[in-house]
Amino acid sequence: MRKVKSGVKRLVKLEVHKNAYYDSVTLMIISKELKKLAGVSQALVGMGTDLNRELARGSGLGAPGLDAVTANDFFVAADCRDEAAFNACVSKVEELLTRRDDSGQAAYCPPTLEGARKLDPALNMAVISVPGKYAADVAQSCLDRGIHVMLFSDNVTVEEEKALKEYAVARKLLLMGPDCGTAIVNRVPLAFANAVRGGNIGIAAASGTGAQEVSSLIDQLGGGVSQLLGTGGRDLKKEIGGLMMKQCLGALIRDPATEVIVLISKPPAREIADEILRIARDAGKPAVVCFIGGDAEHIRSFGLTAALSLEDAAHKAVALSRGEQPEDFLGFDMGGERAEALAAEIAGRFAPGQRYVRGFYTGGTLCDEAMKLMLDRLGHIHSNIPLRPEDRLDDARNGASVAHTFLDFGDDAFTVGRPHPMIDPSLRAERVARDGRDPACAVIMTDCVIGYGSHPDPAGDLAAAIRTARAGAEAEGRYLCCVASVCGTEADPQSLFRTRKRLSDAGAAVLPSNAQAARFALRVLAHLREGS
Amino acid sequence: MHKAVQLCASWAQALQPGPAEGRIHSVFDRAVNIEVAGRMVCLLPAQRCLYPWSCTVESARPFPLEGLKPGMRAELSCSAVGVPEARYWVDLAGAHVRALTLWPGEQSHGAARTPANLPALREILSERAERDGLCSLALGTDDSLCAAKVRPLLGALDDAFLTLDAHAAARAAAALAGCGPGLTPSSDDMLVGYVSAFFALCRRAGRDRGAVCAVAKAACEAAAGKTNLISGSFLRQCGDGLACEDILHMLDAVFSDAPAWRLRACAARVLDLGATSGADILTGMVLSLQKHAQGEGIG
Repeated sequence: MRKVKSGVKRLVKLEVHKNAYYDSVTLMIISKELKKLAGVSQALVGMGTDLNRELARGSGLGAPGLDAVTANDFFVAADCRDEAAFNACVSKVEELLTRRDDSGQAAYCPPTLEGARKLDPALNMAVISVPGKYAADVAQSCLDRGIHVMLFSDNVTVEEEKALKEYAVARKLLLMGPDCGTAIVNRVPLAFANAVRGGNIGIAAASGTGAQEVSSLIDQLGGGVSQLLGTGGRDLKKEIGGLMMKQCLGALIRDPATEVIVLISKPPAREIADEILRIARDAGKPAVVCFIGGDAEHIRSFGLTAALSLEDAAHKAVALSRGEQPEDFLGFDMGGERAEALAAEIAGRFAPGQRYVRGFYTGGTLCDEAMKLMLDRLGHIHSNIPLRPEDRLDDARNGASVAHTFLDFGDDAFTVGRPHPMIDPSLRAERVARDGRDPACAVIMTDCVIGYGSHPDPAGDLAAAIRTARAGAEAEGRYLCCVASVCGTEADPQSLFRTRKRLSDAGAAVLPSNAQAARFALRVLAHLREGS
Repeated sequence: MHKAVQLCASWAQALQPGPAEGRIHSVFDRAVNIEVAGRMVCLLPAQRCLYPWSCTVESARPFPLEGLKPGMRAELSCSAVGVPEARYWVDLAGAHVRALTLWPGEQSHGAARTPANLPALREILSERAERDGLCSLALGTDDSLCAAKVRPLLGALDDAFLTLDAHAAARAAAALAGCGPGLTPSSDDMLVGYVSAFFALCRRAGRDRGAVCAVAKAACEAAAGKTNLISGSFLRQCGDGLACEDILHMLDAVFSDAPAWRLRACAARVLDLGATSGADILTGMVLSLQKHAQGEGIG
């Protein structure tokens, strides 16, 4: 036993396996696991060579018996709080050495594709998140080996994307991306996805948060998702021609678990849209098409169900999945009258001069949808992802908002050198507080996306910013209306209910969907105009 | 009867028509080591690259599930390797025989070119740097416990190889062998990478093969005596001028006009060796290239 200077008794002991050889992966796992044990301040694991014994002594782990250990012996030297802690070490070592199941391998993350295939030769899906300049090569390596790809990376050139997708299509493989952040494949969520109920609705989407909004609402409406396949945001542009949307659509058509299909995208070029719609028309399964802000009549002309919003897509898909007739959903869960009364009450509290809405979003599609739903009534919406070129906002990151302003915090302007706002929402929260000080600002709108991959508490910073902004406005005799919606499900790690409650406790009006939030903000602003 | 897919030429040349007796030294999921005639030979699954003195076997099951255990008697001939007690046999006939030499008589490593892609190699290493390994020696980053131990000993190794002093190389290699985590301790892997790259550099520079082989063999033999039998076996193979396929491909990519993507692909395969072995091998290569390819003693 050895006493350390503080007077706290500690044990430095040795466990030796004579003439024992264990592979390096196992030794590494043992080393990592021992350091996690309570009561173990340090541990050294290795073969008993001269230098390793010197390292042990040099680290204060020179336990009795160390000198007798030879180069062909495996040893563990540990500095423990007490005998019980050391016994736990010994037990852990035995457990890891004798364990022959796959979970022992699960602690080891192979650094290369080949290493992963050695661990699991049946590997057939890869999620790739490497810097853009390497992404195409890595994706190609996977496709060469018959592995489907979810390409989270961006900064892949259009030429690379086209070549990869043509290659993938020829080999009947998926290449979801680039810049694809959301997928659920055979009910397994990948990257930014929500814990949604399994069911018979399959989604093919050129939009990450759009797909999250639809799938989450499907879950909330009691439906379930069979597959959620992403295509990447550029797939439906002319240069790519919808290659992966067609591939995904084909997969959903052939998937026996999928009985209703939902397509989500910004409006594609007409000829590409027609090609997609023809395939959907001939699918033999009912299909809901949500070309956000697109031509609903054109979709209906193919005999398909057109969605008027992401929420409407979810309602219609669930109805179809139940064999019911889909109907437009353009109202409020709380009821139209109640929404109207609440909007009027809020508008009555604004100070003279308060007249603008500011939208600050972590999901680009949610920002886009909100703008499209509100543009007719607002006239101009300034943005870093403007609906009209003349409304582009210069220096969105550092400049001031102009009149009605909506910002996508996931855009490159905000993410250079920073994590995506769904992982680090602090920049958006700062903007809420900042614009809350603007005397002309009446309404602030935000999304809040929960689920796998998202910040563990996305409501935290946002709620604090809302409180600060509202308190500051009140101190100056103004009223700030904060309207929020939460994209997610109750089964998500952050909990839909808890997240909504945090925001409503901070004073936000929390609506059940992005579309309802937009409609509610319009109601508030309509009363404001009437009043002024 | 399992079929051998590839067989190292050194082993093939040593095999006799009549059986030689050996004994299984150790069994892992993806390797079986057999001691025979004072040497270690190895059975590997077909998915792994070929190593010196090994053969790769068509086999879907981890070796322990074949009933192979340390201590079992093994029989080796030019036609088969077998473990009678486990009823396990490998048919060597038809296996593709490959020479794994670092100094092939006829083969060229490509255009005579200084390794201009050394910065790219360092970048690859820095992306995969393992905290517990020796990468910091090549990258100049913070040392792990093991790296701090090895760093002061590198100078003597560099000088010994520079001057082709076999005795000094033996002392220097022995002083730093056996340090670090892993079944093959980190410094042993680093030494394998170092010596392999040195062979490749000297061949390009047309240095005296005998002198180079002598210093490599002395260093590796001395290091082998300071570490465990398995790691020592790899060191001895390296000292004999042999290397696994992945290391050979890596060196070929370094010295040929291989495009960047090929360099990365080859480096990825080396990095995938073991847990940290690959990174330590690559570190040794970078150290050797940095020191010995600057025109001070080579070419």
